[in-house]
Amino acid sequence: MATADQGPTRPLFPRRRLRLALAVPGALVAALAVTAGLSLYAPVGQVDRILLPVILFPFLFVGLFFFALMAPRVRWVGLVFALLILGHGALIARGLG
Amino acid sequence: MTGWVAWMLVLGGLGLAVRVRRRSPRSALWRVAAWAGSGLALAVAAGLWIGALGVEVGLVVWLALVPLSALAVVALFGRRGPRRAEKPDGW
Amino acid sequence: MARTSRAFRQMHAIHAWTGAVTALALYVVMLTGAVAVFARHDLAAWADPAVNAETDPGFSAERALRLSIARFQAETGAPAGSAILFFPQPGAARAHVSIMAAAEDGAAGHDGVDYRLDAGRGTDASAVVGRAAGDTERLYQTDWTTPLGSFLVHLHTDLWLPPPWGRYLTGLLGLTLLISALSGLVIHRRLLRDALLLRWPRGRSARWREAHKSVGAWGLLFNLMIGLTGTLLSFAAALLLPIVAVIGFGGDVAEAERVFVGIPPAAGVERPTADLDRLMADVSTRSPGFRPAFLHVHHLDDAAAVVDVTGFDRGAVSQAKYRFDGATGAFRSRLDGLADDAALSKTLAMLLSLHFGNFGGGLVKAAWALLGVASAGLVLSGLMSWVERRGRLVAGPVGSAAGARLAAPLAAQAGKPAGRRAGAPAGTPGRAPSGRGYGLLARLAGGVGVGVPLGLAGVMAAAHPMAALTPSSAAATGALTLVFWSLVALACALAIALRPLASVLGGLLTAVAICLLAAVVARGFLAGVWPWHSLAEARWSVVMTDLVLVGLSGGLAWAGLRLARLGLARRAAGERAGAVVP
Repeated sequence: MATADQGPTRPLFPRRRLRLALAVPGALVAALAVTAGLSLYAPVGQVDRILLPVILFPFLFVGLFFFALMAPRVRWVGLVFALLILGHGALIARGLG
Repeated sequence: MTGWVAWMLVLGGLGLAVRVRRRSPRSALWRVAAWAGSGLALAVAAGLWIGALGVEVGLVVWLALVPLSALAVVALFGRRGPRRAEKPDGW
Repeated sequence: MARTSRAFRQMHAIHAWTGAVTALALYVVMLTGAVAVFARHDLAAWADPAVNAETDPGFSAERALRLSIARFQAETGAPAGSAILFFPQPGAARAHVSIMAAAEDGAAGHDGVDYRLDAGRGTDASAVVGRAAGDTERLYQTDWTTPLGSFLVHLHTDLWLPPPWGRYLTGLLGLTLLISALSGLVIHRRLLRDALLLRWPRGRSARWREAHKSVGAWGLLFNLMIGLTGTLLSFAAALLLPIVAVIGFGGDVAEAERVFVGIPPAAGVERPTADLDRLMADVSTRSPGFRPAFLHVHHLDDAAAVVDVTGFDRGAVSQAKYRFDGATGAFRSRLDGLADDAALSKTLAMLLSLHFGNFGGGLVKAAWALLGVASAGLVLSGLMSWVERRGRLVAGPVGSAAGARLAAPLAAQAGKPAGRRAGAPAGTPGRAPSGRGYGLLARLAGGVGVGVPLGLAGVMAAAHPMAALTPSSAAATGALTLVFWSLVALACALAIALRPLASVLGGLLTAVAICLLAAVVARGFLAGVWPWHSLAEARWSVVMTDLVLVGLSGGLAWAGLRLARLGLARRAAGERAGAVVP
């Protein structure tokens, strides 16, 4: 019983290949970028700034994975991932540079 | 000794819960009492274990043993449940 | 309706496909993990009869350390920079002392020598029974336990793939386990209601699915924990911590290390380090029931020496660290909270303890092993019901006959009454599969499903012959690896090539039983230790291991023979009826 707004012919995962590419390698890269960048601005003490991102990494990946596959529009996914990767990349570059 | 008592309580509590689920008696009062009884048995068992083993170990042991006991109880006594038509949930 | 909403169906598809893609690899890791929880101590004592069960009451940390340091200096001529003593654990009285030479800049080096001590003999010179030199971090991974233990642990942690790819693979598998568990939780709405019932529907595939749901519901917490800790253990040390530490400290690795270890550099002034036995006694009075795991002396015999005693307080899953001033022996602090500078070691230590269940003794280990076997069955049962459904969608009711019969051996693995499944009424004879890919996948799953237990049993049987053939633990470990993968490959090939499948799997299951029995017999002949000897010496962990091997062997032989007969009988019936049986 598909709900009214989706026709019965609409595939379960529109643009499946792109979504898969975003969900596995994309989410891994984005989660790694956030994990690395988080250590620069997480609002906790020095040691926990190292630990917190590490512990959060699995949750980040799993969340991004589900988001990439289930978001109604794949464009949003691309946008969010690009923002996460570029934003944290810039932060890291500034932190190291 | 404490371990054995706690173990028996877990088995009893789970057995009671399985029985309520299986038979679903009409009297709501009886059902509530049975659920409360099984919950109490499990809670007391957890308390005994935590008291005997310390908080961290006790909690984790309890979290591991309850699933194992539950699997055993369900496999032994839970099998005559109502049959439900299977739907191919859109694979 | 909520049940068939789009998001629900998406979740269902994610659960199914994630599981189907990763099932076989995850099954290998889970089943070996269930055995690997015993690898370090109980199986080490079983595989190496020279390991005493009981630690000699005269075992002294101070003497063990000084003995090893004297050897180290005689062998290398270098002064010892720091030392780590791993205490003997219940069931295997083997201690390790790792001595690291001081690095040029006064920092702690990683290259050193690891000495194995037989703590059952006390701590005289004869207690040193082995040594290995090199990067100590690598030595811990490969060389400080028996070949059997090394093999099992590595199969579980990296499937014997070259570093760091093996770790990355198991880390990814941990992530997919999290995805499977979470999506399974979402699609299984009536978790508690259904968890208390095991429906016993007519069709085998439906029955398979009910078992999958029941085990999945009760094993949910365990699987979430295993997935999370496994991911972190695989990724943290190999990938995440180095990245995060470098970036968090602006690229200053030395500063990052200093903050984590919390040890100032050496003073360069010689001062003998305090008596370690006195420090151990001090810890015991501060924390009654304390179980020491290891002791780390930083800057040995230096004025700035620091001694950390790490272990479990009574009732604790995470480790606590008692820190002493090395020169005076004065107590400094107890470190265990997330706020202090032992946070990293505490967190990582808790991950290890939770993941391998090495806290709280044998009961927890046994529970972890049972849950691990059940979870391995869960993974395979999920794959089987997927194959069934897909096969049916593609080509009518097909792979079902081939697939569902796999239930019996796997159920035997999961500790469920296998015989009842194997002996259940046969139902209609299967039709030839026209969805060939799914038929092949079903056979492959059957091959792996029985092949991994066969490989593990073969490795157990080969452990003592290998030890007798070669004194080199690296060669023995390599040989065990070869035995394992050959047996898995053989099982897969047989399952794919021969028919009927049920008889092949039954035969392989019987082979598992034979290997398990052979393990006990080989140990008796080659090491001269039969189960009754162990019983007479009250070496309970060895007795238990032998008992479990013999018991499993009996159960599997019974189930395997039954399954093999069932397959042959069914084929005979099918030939009489003129049908082709897969």
